[in-house]
Amino acid sequence: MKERLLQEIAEIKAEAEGELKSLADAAAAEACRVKYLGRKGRVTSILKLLSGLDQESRPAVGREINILKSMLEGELREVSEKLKKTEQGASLAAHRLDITLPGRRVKAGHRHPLMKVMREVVEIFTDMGFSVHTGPEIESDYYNFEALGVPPDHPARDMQDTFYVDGNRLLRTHTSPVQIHVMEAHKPPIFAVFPGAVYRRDNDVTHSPMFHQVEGLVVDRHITMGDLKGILSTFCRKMFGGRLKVRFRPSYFPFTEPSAEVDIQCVMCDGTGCRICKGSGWLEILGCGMVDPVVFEAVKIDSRRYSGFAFGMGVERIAMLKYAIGDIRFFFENDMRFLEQF
Amino acid sequence: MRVPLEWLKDFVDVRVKPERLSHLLTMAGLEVERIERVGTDTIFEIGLTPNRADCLSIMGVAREIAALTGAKLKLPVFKAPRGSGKMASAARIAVKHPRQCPRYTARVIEGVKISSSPGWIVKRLADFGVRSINNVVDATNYVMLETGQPLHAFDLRFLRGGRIVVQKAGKELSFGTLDGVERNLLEDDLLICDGEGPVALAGVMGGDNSEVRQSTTSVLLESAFFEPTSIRRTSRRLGATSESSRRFERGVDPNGTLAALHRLTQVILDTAGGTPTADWVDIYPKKVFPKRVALAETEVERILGMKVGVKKSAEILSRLCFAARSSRGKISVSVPTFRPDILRPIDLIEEIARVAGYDSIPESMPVARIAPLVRPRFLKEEELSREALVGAGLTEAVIYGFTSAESLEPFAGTTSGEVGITNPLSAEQGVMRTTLLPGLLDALKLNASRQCTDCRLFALARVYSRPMSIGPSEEPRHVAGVMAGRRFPSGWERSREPLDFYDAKGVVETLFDALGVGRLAIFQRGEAGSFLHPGSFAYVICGGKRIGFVGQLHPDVCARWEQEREIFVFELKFEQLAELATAEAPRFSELSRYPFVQRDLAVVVPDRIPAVEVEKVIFDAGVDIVSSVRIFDVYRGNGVAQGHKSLGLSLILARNDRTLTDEETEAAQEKVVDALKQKLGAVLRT
Repeated sequence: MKERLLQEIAEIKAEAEGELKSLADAAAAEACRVKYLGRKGRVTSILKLLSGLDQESRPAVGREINILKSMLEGELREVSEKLKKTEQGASLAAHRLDITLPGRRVKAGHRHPLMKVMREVVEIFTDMGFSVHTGPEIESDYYNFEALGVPPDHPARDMQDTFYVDGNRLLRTHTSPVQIHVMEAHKPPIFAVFPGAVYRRDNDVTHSPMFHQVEGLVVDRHITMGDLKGILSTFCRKMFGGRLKVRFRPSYFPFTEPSAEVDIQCVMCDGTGCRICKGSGWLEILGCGMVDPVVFEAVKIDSRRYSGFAFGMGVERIAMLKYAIGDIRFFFENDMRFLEQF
Repeated sequence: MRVPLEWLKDFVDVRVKPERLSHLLTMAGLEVERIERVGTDTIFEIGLTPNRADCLSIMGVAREIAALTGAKLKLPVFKAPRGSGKMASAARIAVKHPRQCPRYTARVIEGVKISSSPGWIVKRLADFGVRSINNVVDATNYVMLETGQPLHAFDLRFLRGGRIVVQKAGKELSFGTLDGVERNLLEDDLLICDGEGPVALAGVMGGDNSEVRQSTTSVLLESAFFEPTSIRRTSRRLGATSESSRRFERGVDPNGTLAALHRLTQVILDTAGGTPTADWVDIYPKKVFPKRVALAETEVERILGMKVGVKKSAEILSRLCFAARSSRGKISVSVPTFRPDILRPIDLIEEIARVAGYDSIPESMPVARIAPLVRPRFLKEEELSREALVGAGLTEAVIYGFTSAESLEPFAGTTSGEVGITNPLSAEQGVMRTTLLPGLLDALKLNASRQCTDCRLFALARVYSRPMSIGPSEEPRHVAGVMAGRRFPSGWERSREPLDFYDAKGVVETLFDALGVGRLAIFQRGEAGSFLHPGSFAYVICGGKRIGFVGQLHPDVCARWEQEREIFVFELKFEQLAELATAEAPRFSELSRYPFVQRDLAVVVPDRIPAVEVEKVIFDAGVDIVSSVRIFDVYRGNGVAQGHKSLGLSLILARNDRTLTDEETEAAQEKVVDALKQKLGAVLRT
């Protein structure tokens, strides 16, 4: 009996080892497990015969069976795991997406470049402690011209061709009237910028009948032209780059004195001279100056105690330089191919 | 202004290279816009600011160069050429309005021979950009360019009565100027008249009746000083500007008048011959003296932020031909009459700063007290809205403030009191916009014409209306959008689906959520404005106020913009929206710690019943455990009777204090279904 059992164990072992080698997939491995280790499996049934064996031979045979059993269990686990892995790998490999197709989304729109640049300009000043004010676009002659030192029949009116709404009212030709509104409403110290749309009767490659300005005003005791230079140089460097050269050149505005134009080193050619800067190496970026006593008088600020400076710049011009746009009309056409670039 | 270097050298020793000179002039406020080489000569193109009347001449620029470079100035003293015969017997001169004409000088030359000018005059005029006419006219131009004093020569034969009277027109009349234009004059226009009528528009242009011509033998030369405002008013009104009016309206030197007359006489004698009268007329009843301005040294430092010192300041001013004396921190200046722009201490400070060089002013930062920043109302909400709309797929447009009256017409029902422009560039820009839609539709049309048919644009900008009373105009902001084309133009699934009403409504809802007013918004059916599709639009009510609309544009309006496709639009009053956004902070409501139960049901209701009513019936059914209702499906077609729709409803049932029992949820669902049956005739679909 004992011998017969031992021989059978050896046969099962040989047979199972053969089968284990040729298992094709996880399902076959499972079938193999059932065949040998299942409730009615061959190892299980042989184990049942153990009880019919005499006391002495039982441990030896039992040991053999257990060795066979754990050997089979171990091998089967290993094989079936390996097979499962292969199968999973094959199944994952079969599921292959075209990852180059675009993602699913509502495609975001774009901010208008003028509004982007205007916000950037304003932020540079608010970061330095400036307030922001706006004012009406339909203005009276007084705020747009007279209070700024430009009486009727003044030659400076030629600098700005004006749209009129009626006898006394017009579309503001600059954001400077906001200066007057602010100085009427607020006592110094005033540190403020005024962004907004302005209008002039002009229409060509570099002029649009409507365009945008950011104007600024500083009024306090002890404000000097050195401060004007400090603030505006800081602005130019923040806007166009840190190592940029900036120069202040005398100019004329009716509401500032001394007046200046601020030029920056040409951003296209780094100051060596090109078509954009007309060979000069410099680009005119903004106008500025110390507030003229005439203006202080109009708003009843004592020009002997207070001083200040004002500045103004065209948003379109800055945007054209920043993005290398050659024609101002692109800003107002709203061609999607243009807008989508920003 | 074109300034030839060779001509400048008549009056100043230029030792520096043209590039250096150009830089010096530019950095002193005479911007050299271009340097042009003509043969051996160099021409500077200077962009003069309107305050620098004194530099509208070669001598003026020479004076400036001398001040900037320290070069020697060689301004000649023009002596009166000798002549014979009395001026009084050649012509009689009178000035009736000395306020408009403070100085008038004149002299007669007889026996001139009109011909062409010598080559050097023709060349210098050409360099400047002035056309040569004949020797006498050229002489007036030449001396004007040289001295800055406008001059005129009349043919004495045509001065009726041998008289000149400077006077206002006194009545409306018509007069032919030598540019061949018939001008309508008003009472106040200053004229040069002869014994019978006008022969020149004072300071602006001569008349064709007294023009110097080939047959001219005797000329009357005029060198005058006219008051700037009067010249400017006339020249502006008539659209008649000349080299002469340009100088007079900016202000010429009243004390340079006679010297220029002498110079002119000499040049004519040199180029056209003849004999001048022995004397001349000089009517100058009220002599203009140099202004005296005092400047404190401390003022210079207070404005510029740097010490210049009285000595240096006085030296700079002297170089500019000002008579300056310094004593104990003060400079007393006598301002030459060729600088009418210098009246006050601040004007002197500017002169000192620009000659010293703005570069020499050290940069500093203002010292200020910290104060809370002021920002325009709703600036933050504006930014939030723009970003939300961009996120919702719309691109920002910037549109003109003006538009055509015609394009506002379809929308007229929504607005009133347009602001018209009295001098528009074209009718397309004739009125200020009262709605943003025409501008956005223009952009949509432009894009369509350039093969871009998927177009979603918005604008957040002002509209303009006439104020009810005197005062600042009303310029409230609107936010508006236009949408047309496919829903997912860049997608690869469902890429053919067109946009519809719900896409536009969704954009508005996104905007409301961004502003935190989503719960306050109601979309309401109503009488459509004629520009919207009556069945596919909604008024937007927010906080109880109608603040705008969203919907499909009426096909007739689409046709005005040459569009046959469906266009969806919205326009909202931004201030009213933003006001709600800032009104109230949201209040936190406690989160439930117990699970909710979801019950989905499908009910069939008549088509005309709006979804919002179904929701309302459910909430009003008296079941307090319904915490939300969501419509997840709307179906019409097979299995649903004609004129009906099937709604898939998802109910969320929950309590905050405990878990619901099966009985409770059963009962709740039954009650809801009952209410739907009774109130809406709904049928449960199984």
